[in-house]
Amino acid sequence: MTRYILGRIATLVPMLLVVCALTFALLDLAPGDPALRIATSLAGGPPDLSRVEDLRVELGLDDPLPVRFGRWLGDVVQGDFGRSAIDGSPVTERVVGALGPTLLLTGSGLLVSVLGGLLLGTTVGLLPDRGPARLVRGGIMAMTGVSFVVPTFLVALGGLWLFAVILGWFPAGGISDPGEPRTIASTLEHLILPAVILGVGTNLGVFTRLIAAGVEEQMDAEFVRNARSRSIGPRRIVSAHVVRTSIIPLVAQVGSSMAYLVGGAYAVEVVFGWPGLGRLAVEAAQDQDVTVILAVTVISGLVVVAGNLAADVLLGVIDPRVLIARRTT
Amino acid sequence: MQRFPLRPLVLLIALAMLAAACGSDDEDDAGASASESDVAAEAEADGAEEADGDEEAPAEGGGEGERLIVGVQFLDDFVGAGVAGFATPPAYSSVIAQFMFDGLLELDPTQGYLPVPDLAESFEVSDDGLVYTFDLRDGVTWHDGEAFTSEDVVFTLNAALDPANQARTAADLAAVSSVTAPDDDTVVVELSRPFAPILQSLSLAIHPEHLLGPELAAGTPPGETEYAAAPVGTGPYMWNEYRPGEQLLLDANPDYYKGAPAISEAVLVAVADYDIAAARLAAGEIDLSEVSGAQLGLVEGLDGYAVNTVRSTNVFAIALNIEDPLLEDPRVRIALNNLVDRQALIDLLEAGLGEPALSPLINTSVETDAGASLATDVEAGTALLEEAGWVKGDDGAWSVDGTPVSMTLHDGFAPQIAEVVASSLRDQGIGVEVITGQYSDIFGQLFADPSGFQLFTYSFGAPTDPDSIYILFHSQATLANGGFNAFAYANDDVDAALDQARSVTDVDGRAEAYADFQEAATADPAYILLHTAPVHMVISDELGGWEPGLVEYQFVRFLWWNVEEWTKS
Repeated sequence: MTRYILGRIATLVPMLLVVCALTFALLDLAPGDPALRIATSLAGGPPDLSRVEDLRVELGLDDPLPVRFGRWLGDVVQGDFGRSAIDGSPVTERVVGALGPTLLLTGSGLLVSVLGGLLLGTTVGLLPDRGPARLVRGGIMAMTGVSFVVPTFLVALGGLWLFAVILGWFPAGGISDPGEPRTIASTLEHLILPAVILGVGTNLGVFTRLIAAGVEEQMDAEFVRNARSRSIGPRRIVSAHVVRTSIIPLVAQVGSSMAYLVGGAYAVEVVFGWPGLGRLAVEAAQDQDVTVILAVTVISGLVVVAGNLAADVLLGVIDPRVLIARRTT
Repeated sequence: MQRFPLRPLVLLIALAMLAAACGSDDEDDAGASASESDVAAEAEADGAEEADGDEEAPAEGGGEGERLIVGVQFLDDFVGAGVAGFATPPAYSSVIAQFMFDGLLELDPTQGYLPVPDLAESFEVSDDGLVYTFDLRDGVTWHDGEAFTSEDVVFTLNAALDPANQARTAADLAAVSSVTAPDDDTVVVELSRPFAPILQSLSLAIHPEHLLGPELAAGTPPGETEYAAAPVGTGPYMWNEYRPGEQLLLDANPDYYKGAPAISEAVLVAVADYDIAAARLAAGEIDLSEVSGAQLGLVEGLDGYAVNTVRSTNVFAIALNIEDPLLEDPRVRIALNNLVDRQALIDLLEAGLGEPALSPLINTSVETDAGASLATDVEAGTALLEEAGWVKGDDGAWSVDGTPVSMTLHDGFAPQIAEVVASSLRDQGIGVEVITGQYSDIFGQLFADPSGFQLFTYSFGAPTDPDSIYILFHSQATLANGGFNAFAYANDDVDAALDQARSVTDVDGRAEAYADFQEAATADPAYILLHTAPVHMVISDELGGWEPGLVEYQFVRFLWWNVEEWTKS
């Protein structure tokens, strides 16, 4: 098992490196002169052009791309994301401060989509595809289809207006009430709506369909028929055999949906004023604060990769065949 | 197979939650380390409030325990600028500066933004306009209880002038040659040349020497000081807690020299954009926020709120490269002013509520009607172009020397304005191609080399002192000299009028000079003047004491100027 985990990490590290290098190179390709841009925003107006040259030397912008990337990577490995290109403030602190709220929202959103997917998927899988049950199936499928069709940002805006403004069931934004202390209870109160929207808006549809398909298939499988013949109750068959087997593809899917989940979380954060990485990224993009954009990208990459890894490990735990298959290939 | 396959998943999520919780703990710790002084200040505030209660009748209107909740865009940027000390622009320009700080003077929006005494009780100007002597108010204390003295003023102005601090206010104070304090209650500011607008610049926020001074002396950049993490002012509200990306909590200053604010807490809540602001207003979570014309439909008729729409002095304009062969002739530049469809801009972009701008000093106390000849008038514009040698073809398209006219319009911040202007000029037979980009890139290119540009979207105006337009029109205010006169516009009459307005210190004399300026600038336009966008503030019916109808400017909001007098019922 340890060897398996180490093996997974060994493949993920190069992947992270590629992400970093690509982001770095892409931002380098962005039009405009970074030194001029920084000098312009520092001056809040026409920059002193001699200062632009100084900055270019100071920041080592004339060095070749690989040299600059190596220098940046060296700092990042030591936990230093550098200073904001806009106001000179240290970036690491801001990114770390925003990571907590993002993990909370992403984790809760994942929980919503997994539990919701299990519940709805099992329901759909067990219902016969005829008669009035067909309507229920169709209804669930249509509802969960929202996440395929509507961008998460719009789901979030719609959810905000419907549940927070019109119905008034939940707070409309932030992670605590204005002027009130941050407590666990108030955090949860503010978390529910964005987490549900994130879960529904990103992965609920996929997970539901996956479970439904698995359950349908398993109900016909030999071991289920065997179990029936041994007169094991249907409830036990479903919970102990069918759902548990259907979970394997779900866990695999969770790993590959991490990127989508984190991306969706950023859209939800902006709409709900959630003080996480997504909000930071949008602000940084508006200001063209390259250092912050890089830091957020790397941290997001880490979150996605860590999620992938966790899903892989989990998969190995649930389904030992995975370990064997991976080891032999 | 494992017995409980769900357990690891639950564990994983629990771990993520734990990590999240730890993350926010760290944040709290960071806040706490910087806010020890707050705790003391808070304790003191509590004590002071009780003491107040003993001496005076309880505040009327039930101000005690009330909370003002304001939606603010760019909260993090404002906090950054507000606490970075000397990056602080003049006190009027940031919502945080207005809540927390005072200047030597403040600008009174009910008197045409006249600088009136604030931390200075009175001031005198020498006859040659070179020496300003300020008599400071007695008995003013910092939020931490220390006495405010002339040392703080000398420290703040010198720190703002110190190039090491890269203060955005440095340019405003360029005329200052020395700042001295003969005694605890007096500050003398000497200028190297007469400079009437200096009074506006001296409204910048004053910071406490005893807290920030040692840190700056040790070489810490202003934005990284411990002071910046929990700044201390003399203003009506004091720092309590900052939750980055979410909210800034302020408490009323019971010892504010104008009297303790009627509302005991103020919370500035971050709103990502105007749509989010509208949602939070509609949910009743905030008392007040600005929205743009696009959200008016959502907030008009909202129960418990009213929309306060006010005029602005902020002009949208198109800068003209007067060195370009097509734009050399002033008649062409007047004609472009005549041909642009200002009403289309107002109708399409401002929900019909903007005003056409014919003077760069629109809505200020020195605005004249000299700009009437720039008004939209297709006939007049057509006649002027013909006079200038342009030829209109049968298809309605203009050409010069047989070449069809085609110009570029660069834009770095207002693509919709650029498109509407371009299409209205195209309707008149003038080819215009719009080139848009990121603000800092497009402006960076302009600053580096303006010669490749023809038309360029600009936005300017006079927030308070009309001298703000100096950097746009004076021949000395080129980009190379740190001004915004991008295309080296030079007109002797304009220069003379602007110089005159700087050197005379009486209100009437300056108004006369600005009248001359507007006449000269109309005859030889440097810009196509477009329109001003109104400012819409949605304000809870529970709030009282605010002044309706103040004229606002760009991101500056004067609405806060008397926040200590506001009430909430």
